Amino acid sequence: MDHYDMLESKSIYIIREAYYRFRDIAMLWSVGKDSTTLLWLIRKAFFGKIPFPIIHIDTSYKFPEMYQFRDRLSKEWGFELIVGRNEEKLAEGMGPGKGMKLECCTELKTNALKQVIKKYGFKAIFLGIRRDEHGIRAKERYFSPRDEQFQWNYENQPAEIWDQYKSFLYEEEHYRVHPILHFTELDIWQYVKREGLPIVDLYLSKGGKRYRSIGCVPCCSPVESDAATIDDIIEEIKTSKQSERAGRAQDKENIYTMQKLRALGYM
Amino acid sequence: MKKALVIGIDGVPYDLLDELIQRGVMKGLKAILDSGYSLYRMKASLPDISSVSWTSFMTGVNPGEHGIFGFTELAPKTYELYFPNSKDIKAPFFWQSLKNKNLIRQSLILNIPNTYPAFPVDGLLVSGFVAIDFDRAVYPPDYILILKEKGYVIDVDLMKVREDRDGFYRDLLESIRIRQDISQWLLNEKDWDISIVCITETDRLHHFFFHQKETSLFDDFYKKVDDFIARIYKTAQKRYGDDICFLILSDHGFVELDTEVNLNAYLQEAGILKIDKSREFYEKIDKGTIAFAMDPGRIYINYKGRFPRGSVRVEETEAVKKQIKESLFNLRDKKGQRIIRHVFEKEEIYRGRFIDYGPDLVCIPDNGFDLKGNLRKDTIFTKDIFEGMHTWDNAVLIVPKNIKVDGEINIEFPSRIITDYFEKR
Repeated sequence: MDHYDMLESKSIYIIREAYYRFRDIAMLWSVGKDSTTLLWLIRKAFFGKIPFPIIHIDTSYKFPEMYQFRDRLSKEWGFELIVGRNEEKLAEGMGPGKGMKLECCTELKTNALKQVIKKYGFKAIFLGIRRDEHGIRAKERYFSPRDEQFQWNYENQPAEIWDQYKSFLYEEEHYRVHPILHFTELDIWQYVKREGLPIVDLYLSKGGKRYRSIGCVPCCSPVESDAATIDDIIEEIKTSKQSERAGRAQDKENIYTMQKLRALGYM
Repeated sequence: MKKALVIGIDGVPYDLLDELIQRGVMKGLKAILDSGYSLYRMKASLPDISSVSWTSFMTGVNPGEHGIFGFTELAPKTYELYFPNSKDIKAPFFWQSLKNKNLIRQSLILNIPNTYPAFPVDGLLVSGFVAIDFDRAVYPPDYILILKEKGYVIDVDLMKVREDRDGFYRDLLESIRIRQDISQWLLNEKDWDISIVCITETDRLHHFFFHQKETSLFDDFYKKVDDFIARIYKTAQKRYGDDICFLILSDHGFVELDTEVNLNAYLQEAGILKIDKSREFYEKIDKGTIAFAMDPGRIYINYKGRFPRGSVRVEETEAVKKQIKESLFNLRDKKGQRIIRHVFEKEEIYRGRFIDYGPDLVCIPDNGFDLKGNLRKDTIFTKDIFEGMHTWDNAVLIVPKNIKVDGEINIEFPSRIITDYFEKR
């Protein structure tokens, strides 16, 4: 088995294990490269027919290309799509540019997801996060419990060694399941290339810039790059020292912290 | 059973408080002072900003020992911007030490800056500035929903002041009111041995309205602060009797701001700093840089081995410090006025294991000149919306008259009063 077969079969094992444990399960799809890779792996795990719904949390601030891609793929691959929007907060004008910046992500992402989980009663959610994305994600487990407050107690997690996973659940908890935790950014692109996966073309260079990580329009900025094909991207990542999330200004908490500090004249 | 109560009044200068008491604006505080308390001038931490100063208060030690030198930091061996938080505090909190000695049981820690994310305490902790996610700002978490339902606010919306000054001012008043109600409720609801309650709204008022300190806007505001102090004190007295150990303190002072001074623009002009504009934040620092500034007046020497594009060798330290100091002291405004009053070397002001992470020099400006460390501004002097700036040497401390306070004190001192109080038999 080559490296990518191994990555793939490990992911598929976790996907099937999770589905066996939790029938009330769904996948969170951001439309980005990682969760699209996860979506593909889930399709493979169930021979082309995805047996549970796919959730897209729509903040209403995503790139138009992302909405087109989402609608196209959900039609082509024929899965059930749940679009989660915090309509109440959107109606109140919540957004990154409208004064209440600090709560924007919490309301439009976290709370929108909370609403979906509550409404459908999901006990587990698949997410396409990777260990090498960010320091805190390196501490993640494949099966990661969250309490009723949505809190993750990363200092007290079940051990995961020799493919033994804790998938028992208390009534008020739900699980985050991370089947592609072991992929690196480079693995993702190599795998995208091998499988011929579709991706949003924001990742490809236009006019000397491309997005390395995509999300909401106001909070993403492109990095300088001439990588116009997947091969170019693979080459670029092999040599780049810049962090993947460099174009995401900083991480969510950092953006907020920075805004708060700037509001008082620091930075 | 002994009890200690501390009220923190963020950014309140000694002189202002003294004047407000004299003028009869703060009648409640006047009565407290008359009942046996004294008012002292106190020095803040260096640099004189909330996260550093409050951490010095909470730990009773200097930044060289607690490891917090600012709101911003560079990750070791990089130019990567990093925001230190409660997890980076490397010295124990005084209530922890007292708890370990079995001298106290429960603590109620409300709204102290740099306590985010919330960490375990026996009792209750609600984080202050810069707490961004309320769900991570409360320990134990069962209080998250309770406080939310009571309408708790960590901080007012600071962006609002740019659009609606009156509305912002009203928000500050409302925020104090909510803080007072909830603090009073908690002081009665929870059992506690130590309670610390901070008001942040004073600092916010000063940042944006300090030029109006002689108007009714200030008087009205400080009447609310006075009410807050008097009622919180009374609530504690009512519950636990008159002989609780009671302190009031601020973490730094304030003066009116004339102009912001962008130190990095000046260091560039002086040939000490080289910038590559195509990069972001402190990554902008380019080869050939001798030193750069971070907020507010922290100067870091660009040592080889300490930073990726560092060039200064350790042997050159003395010469480089001399060059930087000379440049800084030469800085004048348009009217020819001196700007930098004093430059401290790290060895003079910091002691402890973490001194290497601190700035090499810390500048103290003359009043009116607010030192800034951003790398975005091309001109040395700019004026934004801010009307007040922090000061180092006129924070305030109020303690019972029987406490001996000798000579110069700084913010590492007050926790010792509480520790002594619980330790003495």
